[in-house]
Amino acid sequence: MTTSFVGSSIQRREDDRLLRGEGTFVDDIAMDNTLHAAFVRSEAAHALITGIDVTRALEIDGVVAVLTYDDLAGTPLAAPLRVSQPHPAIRHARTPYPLARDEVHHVGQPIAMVVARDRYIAEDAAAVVHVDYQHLPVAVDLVGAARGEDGPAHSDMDGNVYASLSEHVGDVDAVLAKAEHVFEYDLRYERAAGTPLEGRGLLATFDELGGRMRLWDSTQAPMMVCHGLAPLLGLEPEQIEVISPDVGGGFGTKAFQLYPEEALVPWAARWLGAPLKWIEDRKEAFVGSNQLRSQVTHVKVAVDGEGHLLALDVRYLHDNGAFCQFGILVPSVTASELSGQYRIPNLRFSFDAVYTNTTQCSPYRGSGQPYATFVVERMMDWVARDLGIDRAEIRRRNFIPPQGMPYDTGLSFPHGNRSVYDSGQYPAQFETLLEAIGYDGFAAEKAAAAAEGRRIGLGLTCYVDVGGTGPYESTKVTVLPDGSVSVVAATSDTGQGHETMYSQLVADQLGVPMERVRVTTGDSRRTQYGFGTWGSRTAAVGGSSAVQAAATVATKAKAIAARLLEVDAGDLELADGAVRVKGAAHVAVPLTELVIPARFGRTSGGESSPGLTAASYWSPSAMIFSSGAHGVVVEIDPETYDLNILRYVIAHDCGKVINPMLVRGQVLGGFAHGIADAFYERRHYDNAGQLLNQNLMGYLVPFASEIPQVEVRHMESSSPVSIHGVKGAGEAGSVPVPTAIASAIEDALGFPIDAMPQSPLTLFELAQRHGR
Amino acid sequence: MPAPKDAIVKPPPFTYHRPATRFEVDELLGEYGADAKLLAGGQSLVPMLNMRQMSPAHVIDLGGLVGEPSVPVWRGAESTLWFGPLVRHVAVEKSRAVLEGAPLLSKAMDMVAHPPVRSRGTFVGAIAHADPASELPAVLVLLGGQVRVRSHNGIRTLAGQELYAGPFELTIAADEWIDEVRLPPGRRSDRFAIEEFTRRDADFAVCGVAATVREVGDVLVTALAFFGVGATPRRFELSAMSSDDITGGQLDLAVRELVAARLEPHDDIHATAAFRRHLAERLAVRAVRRAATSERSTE
Ligand SMILES: Cc1cc2nc3c(=O)[nH]c(=O)nc-3n(C[C@H](O)[C@H](O)[C@H](O)COP(=O)(O)OP(=O)(O)OC[C@H]3O[C@@H](n4cnc5c(N)ncnc54)[C@H](O)[C@@H]3O)c2cc1C
Repeated sequence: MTTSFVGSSIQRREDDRLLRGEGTFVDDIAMDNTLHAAFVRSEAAHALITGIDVTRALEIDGVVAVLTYDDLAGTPLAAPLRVSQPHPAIRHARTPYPLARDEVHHVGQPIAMVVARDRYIAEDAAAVVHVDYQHLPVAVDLVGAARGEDGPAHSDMDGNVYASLSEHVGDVDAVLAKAEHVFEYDLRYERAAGTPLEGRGLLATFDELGGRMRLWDSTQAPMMVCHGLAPLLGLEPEQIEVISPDVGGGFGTKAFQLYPEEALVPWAARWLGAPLKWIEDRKEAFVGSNQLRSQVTHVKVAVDGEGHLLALDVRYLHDNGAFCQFGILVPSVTASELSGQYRIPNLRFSFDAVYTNTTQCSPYRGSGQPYATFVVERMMDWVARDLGIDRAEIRRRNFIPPQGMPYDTGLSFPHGNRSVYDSGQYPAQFETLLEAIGYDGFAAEKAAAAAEGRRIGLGLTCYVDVGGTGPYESTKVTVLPDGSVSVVAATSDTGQGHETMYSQLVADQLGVPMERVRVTTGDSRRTQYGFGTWGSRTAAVGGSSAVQAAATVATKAKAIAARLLEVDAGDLELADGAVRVKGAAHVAVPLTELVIPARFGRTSGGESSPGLTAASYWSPSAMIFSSGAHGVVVEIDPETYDLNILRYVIAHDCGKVINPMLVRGQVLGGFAHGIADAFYERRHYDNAGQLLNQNLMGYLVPFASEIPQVEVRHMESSSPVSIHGVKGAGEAGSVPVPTAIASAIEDALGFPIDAMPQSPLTLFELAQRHGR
Repeated sequence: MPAPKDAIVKPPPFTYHRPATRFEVDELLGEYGADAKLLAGGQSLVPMLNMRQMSPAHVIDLGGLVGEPSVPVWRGAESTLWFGPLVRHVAVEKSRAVLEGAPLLSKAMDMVAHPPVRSRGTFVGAIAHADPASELPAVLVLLGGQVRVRSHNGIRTLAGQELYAGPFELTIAADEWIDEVRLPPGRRSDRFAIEEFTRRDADFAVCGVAATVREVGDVLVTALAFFGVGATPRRFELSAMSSDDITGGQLDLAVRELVAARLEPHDDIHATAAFRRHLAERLAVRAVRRAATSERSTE
């Protein structure tokens, strides 16, 4: 093979278009006679709706319809939306009705939908829809809700715990009972949310004659939206065209569940017989788009005198907000990684998943993983402290060694896979980090700073990160009559650079220039089966399916060429847009000349199926795990308690790298999210369930100025699971950051940091409490 | 694909006016008064409209005023700095006249928002907006500036301190507006500093303080104005101190007393009243020390 695009930092093919403002996002798509929707959303966190008066709204010129629950009666939309991730442990599944029936469970829940000639009018009308509420007890605080002291969040439940799950390996109790040392710790993580630049957005139009629904949806999972909508619209999936055009970020908030709006907009477009658009505004995103977890944990850990981990018992509460469309996915992902990078022979977790009267939660970049890392790695620091062992040393003593791979943690991952680490070089990765962050010289550095009245601290953390989950992903690769190549992938790009990534992979397999590869993602007109983009899975799982499909096409091309050239297929290679004899490049047949013979299929040469085309539904046989270690040196202002990051090092292993520049972009973008999650972004609810920071002045998405320089060191442990050795890179950058920062702040200030995120205010209050 | 007309900003309906002269503004305000809002740089008003936090029936855009200076100018025998209603933040930031006559304002302007906001937001708009977290009203009050207020009934001048009734609230009548802000010339010997604490770079301050230090004989007279803490900006003087007092613990004591007696910090999600009090103290001490030990502003 002469060309090799895989492994090089090829410029993103998307950027020219996006940077010129020539991208096409949902709101850029204009259709004649489009109507616009606005939503009347609950102002109460928990209440009975005793009346809805829409008369004033209907009087406004330009208003076409105002829909409430009663208008949906007798349609599939009169039932609660489905749980997209069911689990037998869920005892009380509660999901929203597309429009609230009689009870609202969080501020922002849709109650009525206004459709008008334009959005201004729709908003004017929404503002005069009058809703009468009879307020009910509100559950906001996770612990209070779990104990049943607050709420219930759903008046038909007694408490708020909707699911409990527990699993164990070994005999935790026996080891805890006789271990040399048993330590107990409490930890807490507060609520944040993905804040994509582009909010959600929908444009739906129904073709009455053709019987086809077309929906442009700013989603990470168009195929699943298509299949999810079918029963609600009474159509076959093939009649529903879901297209995700350019998407300005998702981070999990746009993963599949079917949001109420996602069901209502296409349904109403058909009912009204006109294209209907809804673009989420920032205010709606704060209360209407999914958020991410708050969890409270109690840890019991048994160690021997040398700090070897013997048993770990983790109990936690998980706040899922008002509903559970994602089942118990987030707390289960936390559970699956409670072994961290360490050998822990006896391990047990149990959690209660809890409803509160807040916006519902779902995975957001890293899902439950940042929390697993927080629990395990803070614990490692504390065990080291309590035993008087060096923080680095205790990790060295417990790492899973490379020769221990694959390593079965004994835990399960959601969807039935076992949490088995496929590969990784944890000890070497850690030493790389220690050297780069200057661990050995840090004590002297800290003392010198202290002599100047400065408080600096060093933080460490290791982590694993799921880098490719099933069930499968699909890609179809076709050589077109002009010799160019079409790649159709079921995943949806939300800014990652999938067009570039897929074309690198396929161009290498087929020996064509990258410019000859055309990539279509996220369009259910072109492919029906597939999942979507989340969980760092696209390059590993979608990428494997692309490689497999392209390799099949290459095999077919060789078989036909072998016949035409009268040579053995084994002597052929694909290069420069042709199939040629290895070592005799002039004996070749261009791909263009293979297209027609291939159309005749097996009759013409015994190939398996007609066409220079193949589809792959590649499924990973086991889990794929990326890993890494982060180190940071921070300085805390002793007066304002502001955080200054002096240096930050990431040692990162995502297996084989397709495009180092794209990986770097993912890692750094994730890192920025991690900084946000450590010190800036936090959803503040008051006791009445009102979100106090509903805009970007109060909810602090960090600016570029808050993101420090970072040094990235790459390691490469090829995955034995994915076809091309690739592991995911999308989430790993963010997962360990809050934990590393917590570790560093603790080192700088000298009191335990057991909750995240922190802020100058929380550090001030902690300092007061610790008499500093 | 061209951007469609139905972009996602959606203020409530209003009637738009674009007067060409200050007199026309007077007339329009005389007619619509409480139902009207002036639009200057729009950096505060437009987001509030889009979030539908207010719904004025009339918006009067000052952007069409003819012949208004776009930069601050020296005027009068006393060499007062004058700011017209269309002087943008960026013009203040880059102004040589401000750097020489009111260097504290140049410094403060550095802390106001990001360049895109500064390229549209106006100085007078920020003074009128009365955001208690803004640097600019505090600077106006600390430097003893004045505002000229007008209406169809006439023109009057107020001391900066008299302008503010509360957060986002002015003492002037519904038909009055500000057509000029004036800052007195600084003394060559004055020294100054401004310190603020923000959560992110260029955010509104959680707490901040501007300080001037003036030599009077062999003592130093210090004045302070806080922002982000308290409802309206006020100017406080500390009792005269020697420069040793300022570098030593005397200053800390004086500031603590002032903060305890005169400030009424509030709680919000970024800071409790206790944390704001702490910040006000520490930032004031920092500011005064920095001012006292700084080079004189202009020599
Ligand atoms: C992201 C962001 C960050 C910001 N950060 C800061 C910061 O750190 N510090 C800071 O000080 N400001 C900050 N601002 C606010 C900025 O300075 C605004 O420009 C300013 O507060 C208002 O000025 P404007 O010209 O935009 O006024 P407008 O938004 O047009 O008007 C503001 C208000 O003043 C009234 N008004 C305007 N002109 C007059 C007049 N001549 N007479 C009477 N009333 C009048 C209007 O009716 C309106 O009520 C920030 C703004 C944004 C968007």
